[in-house]
Order: sequence, then structure tokens, then C-alpha cells
Amino acid sequence: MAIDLTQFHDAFFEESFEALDSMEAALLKLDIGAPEPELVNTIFRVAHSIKGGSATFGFSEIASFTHSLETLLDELRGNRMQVTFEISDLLLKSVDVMREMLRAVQAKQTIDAQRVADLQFDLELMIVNRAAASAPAFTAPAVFAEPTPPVAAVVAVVEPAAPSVAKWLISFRPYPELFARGNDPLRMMRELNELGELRVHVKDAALPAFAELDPQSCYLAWDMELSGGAVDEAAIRTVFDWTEGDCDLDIKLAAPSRHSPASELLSAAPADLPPDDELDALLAANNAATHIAVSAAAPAQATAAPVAQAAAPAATPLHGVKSDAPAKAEVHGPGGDLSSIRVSVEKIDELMNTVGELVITQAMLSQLSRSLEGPAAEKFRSGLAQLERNMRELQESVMRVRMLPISFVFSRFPRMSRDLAQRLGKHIDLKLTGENTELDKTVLEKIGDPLVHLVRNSIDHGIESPEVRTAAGKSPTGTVQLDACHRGGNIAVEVSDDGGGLDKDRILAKARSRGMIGPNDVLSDEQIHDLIFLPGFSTAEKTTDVSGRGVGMDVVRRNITELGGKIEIRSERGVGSRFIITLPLTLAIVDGQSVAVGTETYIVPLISIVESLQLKAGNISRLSGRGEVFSFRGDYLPIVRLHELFGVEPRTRNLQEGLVVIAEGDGRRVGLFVDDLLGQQQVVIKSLETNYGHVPGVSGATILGDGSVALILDLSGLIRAASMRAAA
Amino acid sequence: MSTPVRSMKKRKTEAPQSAAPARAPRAPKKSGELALPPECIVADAIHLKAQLNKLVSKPVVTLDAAAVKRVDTASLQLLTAFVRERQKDGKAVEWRATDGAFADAARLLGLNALLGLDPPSPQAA
Repeated sequence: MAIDLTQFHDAFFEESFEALDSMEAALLKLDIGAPEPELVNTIFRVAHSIKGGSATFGFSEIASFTHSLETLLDELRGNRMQVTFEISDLLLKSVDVMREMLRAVQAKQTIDAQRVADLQFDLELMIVNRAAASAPAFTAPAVFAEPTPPVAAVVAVVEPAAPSVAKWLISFRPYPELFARGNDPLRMMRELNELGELRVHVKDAALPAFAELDPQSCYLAWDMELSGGAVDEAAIRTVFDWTEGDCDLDIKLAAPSRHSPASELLSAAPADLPPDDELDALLAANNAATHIAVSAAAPAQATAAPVAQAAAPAATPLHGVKSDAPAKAEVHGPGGDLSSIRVSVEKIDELMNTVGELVITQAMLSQLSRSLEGPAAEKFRSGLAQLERNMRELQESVMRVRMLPISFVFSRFPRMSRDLAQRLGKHIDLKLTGENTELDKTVLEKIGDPLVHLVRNSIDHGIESPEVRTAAGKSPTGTVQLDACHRGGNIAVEVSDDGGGLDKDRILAKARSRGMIGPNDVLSDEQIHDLIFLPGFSTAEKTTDVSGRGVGMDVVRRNITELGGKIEIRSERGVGSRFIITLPLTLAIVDGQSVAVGTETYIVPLISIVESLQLKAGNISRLSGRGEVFSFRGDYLPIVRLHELFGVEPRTRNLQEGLVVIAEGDGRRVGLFVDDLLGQQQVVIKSLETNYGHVPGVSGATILGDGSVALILDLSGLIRAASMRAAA
Repeated sequence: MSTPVRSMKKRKTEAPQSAAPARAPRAPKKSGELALPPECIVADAIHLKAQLNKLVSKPVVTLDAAAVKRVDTASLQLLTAFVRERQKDGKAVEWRATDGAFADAARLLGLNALLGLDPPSPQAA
């Protein structure tokens, strides 16, 4: 399966810019003469990662430049060279140049090749000089010559390093509007020509075709060499005084005879690296590919189970991956890219919490306003309505901050499915759709494992072997599809395959043999499918190292219900299966139905509610061992009296006087007996566990508009608690 | 050093005035030939481009720099683009009287080769 690398470009740029920031910070901390090895290592790693990444993505100029940089850094790292002020300066300049190159590549503009070549020359020269300078001090100069590119060595021989005559290299890159600002490069050339001996090289690469040329825009650029006399930088800068802001100007002192044939050779050298280096670059590229892929999958992997790690053996995070937050924070100083900032999740949660409080206060005010009368009250209410709108927007904005595209989870699957298919000898075509669907980071992190499990199941159990498929008249290649989309206030993630589908007879037989269902129970298709979610259920004939590790579908469902979501199965024998997961977009807010029991209010999450109805006397019966039940569409559902469960004095104990909310949890349905339905509303979830302790059947609490606290029901827990009560 | 720079800024405002008389001698003497005006400067570059545009299709073009007293980078850039395009299309450009101010400017800007001035240009008649 071909991997489209362009999808990783953004991540590469983002990480590279960050890495360059950290390299810069480390360089600035570097002590001349006695550098801290860890700092040097950090700097080296940045250069190495960028080299690898750019080689992978085909940014050859960056790869070539960073190769030279890396060579120099390796010398420093190996203590074969000392960190001098010049070197530190050169390295900082390299950071600038790399940043510019990355920016140019990112913006799909041309790289300032001359500037890069110049600096690269300086880097190579520095390495060669090191060899030359340290040779007399050490006994074995050959050792030093070895890691140095041969061409550079030639330069060193031809030219002694210490510059005897000052020679200035001026790179002058006017912006198009230079002419319009009244500047004429010709004047500057004249003045420079008076300062010393001037050699001018014009760059006409940007000059458009005659017809397209705007006569008042400047397209040309110049590189100049100015030598002789007592020229100093200040004098040169004065010449360009009036062009400030209208051009890029780089002035530096150069080693002499830059235009010897050797330097021309050298500028060509990085493009065709010696074979060893090519191999090195390839290796680095491989590393980088793994690195990027890992970093894309990293957020989800933070919570990944051992299974996930087993599935992606190559997914060992290298240095500086995204999930490596503490290490990263250490390396990265303040600053960074202005277009995006990294904010700790804690801060966002705090913000979210405050917004939640505001929502509650606003609800309180709204409720209060209803009891007010008179013209002022009307104004007050309209002001409150405005506040409510703004609050909702604020809440959504804050929630959006926490949202990440589901591609963070999806991105691990191509690799996983490839590996699995290979191991199982199956042909799998994995299709990913809706990767840009966003959902809350916490939900995203927790959905990774269940999805891995489902995809693995689809590939292992769902898709048949090519022979079986061909015999069944299907294409030998099976399709596994992952799809995500927003549906109402929820996100639906679907894992589907065109494999054999669930074998209902086998599931039934197994459930009977294990005593999970009675021998004469008649189950609907849906109920049969639901059996696979029961703990200890596994139909795989043999346990492979892929599936059947005891982590079953029950764990999948539990993870999903813990997130306030649900999972459904649609399957047809011979045609395929679909696992549809519905999840809330966020864990901070829940759409709830408030119900009254006595003086208390409880919130039932809307996602769990099937329907609400009033019971008729004929529908209710008592079954021995199962308590009260009522008939609902040909089925008998147990009645859970909330007032009994929570020890509340109800308005009525007569089942026909109250209402029954049919709700679902853990694949089971019950009727919750309540006094009344109050209304639907979004509530902000406050954790009971952090503020009080775990209460079975309650997932959290919220503060209502009147300031009172309402418990949010957790249907799975509640059904468990109720059945234990019934059994007792 | 800063004195010439300031005069440079001033020139910008002067330019439109000096432009008016400059236009007169620019009319082509005959087809395929253009006499460059005494002041080849950015303010007139659009007119110069229009003049050159008329010559684009001519197989041979002669450019006469005899009258040129002042030339700036914008004009030379324009001429460079013109010459480069013709060379690409295999059409010739002949220069006449490219010495003095014109040649100095071209050399200082490193444009003589691109302008096709590198082989010693024919001396003014």
C-alpha cells in the first residue's frame, strides 16, 4: 500500500520548526570551550532528524545542507573539535538558514541557493580547518581527514585557512518594490565600487518573460565580492542604508579565493554525496518515516494497551515525538511558531471548568428572571438571552480547542492492517474515510484501543482467506473500512468489512454451552449479535497471536460505555459486518433528560434513552426471580424503581401514575420508574469521584439552574446495581 | 557616504519632470530599430517597454544607446528581459553605441553578458 507522504509534511514542518527553536535555545546555552554534552547531543539530534525527514520527503537542498551541518556537529559531539565562538555563530546562522529553507519549501517558494551554498561552504571549511588546525597537535592527522568529504579536503590543501585579505561577500536580494521606493541598485554598485574592488554576479532567475515583466518591479538579485582596501562592514552597510526593509541583505567576511575552481567543485559536492553518505541518508530517511508515523499516532498511543504495541512493532517512539510531552517541554523553551501554540490540557480543562460554572450561573439567572415582572424584567430577560447565546458560543469555542481530528487514531491502521494481512496471508484493502472528523482529545485517546480491537477482529475473523473468498464468488481482496462522521451531537465511528459476517448459529451454540442463555431462549438477531459482548465469549476456533488474547469484545464495549457511547452490530452472513460506535463529542457536557423522583432531579443521558411511556395495568407482571417486569414490544423488561435504588421518597409508588423511561446500558434494557419527565438540557458534568467518591449507577453530577445538584445516571452501573438488588 | 543617498531620494520626485522631454527622441527611426532616450529611468520604463514591445516580432532589432546619458537598473532589467527573450527565440539584437554611461551601468550591475554586450560592442559611428 503506497503511503502518501504529503500528509506528513505539515507535521514535519511543525516539528522541524519546533526542533530548530530548541536547537537555537541549546546553542545559546552552549558554553564556549566547555559545552555540556547533552546540549550538543540535542543540537545534533535536531540536525539529524531534519536531515532524515527532508531526505524522506525529497527536500534535497535541506537534506544536503543538514548533512554538512551534521558532520560538523558530529565532530563537536565526538570532542574532536572544540566549540568556539565562530562555530557557535556559524551554527546559529545555520539555524536561520534551515528555518528559511523550511519556510521556502513550506510556502513552495524557491530556496535562496546562494546563501545556503555560502553557509554550507563555511561549514565544510570549518571542518577542514579543524583538521588543518588540530593536525600538528595530534599525532594522527589521517584520522581527522577520514570523516571529511574529500572535496573539502582539496580546498583545505589548496587554500590556507586564515584569511589574509579582507574579502566581503554581499548577498543583495531586493524586494520587487525596491524601485518604487526610489532605490537604484546601480547607485549602490557605484558606491561599493569606490570602496574597493567589486565583482558582481547578477541573478536573473526570477526575471519573468518580457511580456509579463512589470517594468517598475525589481526581479534581479546580486551577489557581490568586495575586496581590498580597509573596507569594514559598517561602510558597506551604509551603502545599503536606504534599502532597509526593501531587500534581504547579507554581508559577511569570507575566506579568500572563494571563486577558485575548488569552491565551485564544492558547491556541487553536496548534491552527489559519496555512496556511504547516500546510504546514511537513506537510513536516516527510514528512521524519519517511522518517526513521523509514530508522532501522528502518538496521542492515542499514550493510553495504548500492550496489544496495540504488539500490533505495531515499529511504533517505538524515537526521540522527541509528540507524546513525549515532559521531555519536549524541557527541550523547548518559550516562543515557537506564532500560528499555533501548545497549551497544556490542564489549562484547557480549567478553562472548560470555568465556562461550565458560567453556564450554570447563567442558567441560575435565567431561572431567577422568570419570577421577575415589569418592563425592567423584560429587558433583563433579553439581556440574559443574549448572554445565553454568547455562553453557548464560548462553550463551543472552548470545546473546539480540545478537538482533534480522528486521523490521529486512524493513521496507525494502514501499517497495522498491512502487517496483519501479511501475517495471516490475507489480502486486505483498508479504506479510511472521514479522518478529519474532530472529537474531544480525551475521547480520542480512549477510542484507540477499542478501534484497534475491532479492526483486528475484522481482519482476523471477519475477512476470509483469499481461497474461501474466491470460492464464495467474492473478490480475493477483502475490504475493511473505517469511517467517522458527526451525527447530531455525537460522533459515529464505523468499522465495517465485507467478510463472512457473524455466524449466528455458532454464537448461539456457544452461548448455550456456556450457560449464558437458557436452552430454550429465543433471541432476535440483534440479541444474538449482542452476545459477543458478554465477558468470556470468544468464537475464534483457534487462538491466534492476533486475536483471542482474552481481551474480548466485552472490554471494547466497556471502554465505549465508559465514554458515554454505545456500540451496535449489523451483520449479515456471507456479506459482512458493521460495528457502529456512537460517542459523545466531549466528556465535559452531556445531553440529558431530567427526570423527577420525589424532590430529587436526576439526569438520564439522552444517548441511553430508547423511549418513555406510561404503563397500563395489563402490561405489568411479576416474574419470580426477576422482579417486576413490563411488556414492551413483545419483550419483557425489568422495572427499576429509582426511588428504591436511591432511597428517595417518591410522589407516587403506583406504576401507573408515574412514567417509565426505557433506557439501555451494557446491551440490556430496563424501564426506569420515575415520577415525571422535566425537560431536556445540556448539562456540564462534574466528577463525583474527584469531589466525593464513586457511587454505583451514577456517572457524575451537575448543578441545575436553581443551584441544586442533580446526579447523572450511569445506565450500565445502574442496571448492574439493580440486578444485584433484585437477586439479593 | 550618505550624501549621494539623499540625492537619490530627491531624484525620485524629480523624475516625472525629467521624463517629459525624454519622450521625444524615442520614436523608432525605422522598423527594427530603437534609439534609447537620454534618460532611461524607472519612471519611463513603462513607455520603454511599450516601444520594445512593438519590436518583438522583428527578426533583427538594433538598439541605439548613443543618446543615453542616464540609465538605471529598472531600464537595464527591462532591456535584459527583452534581449534574453529574443535570444531564446533565436532572434538577434544588435547594439549601437554602447559605451559611456550605458556600458558603465551594465558592467556595474553585472548585466553585460545577459544584455549581449560582452563582445566589444561596435563603436559609435
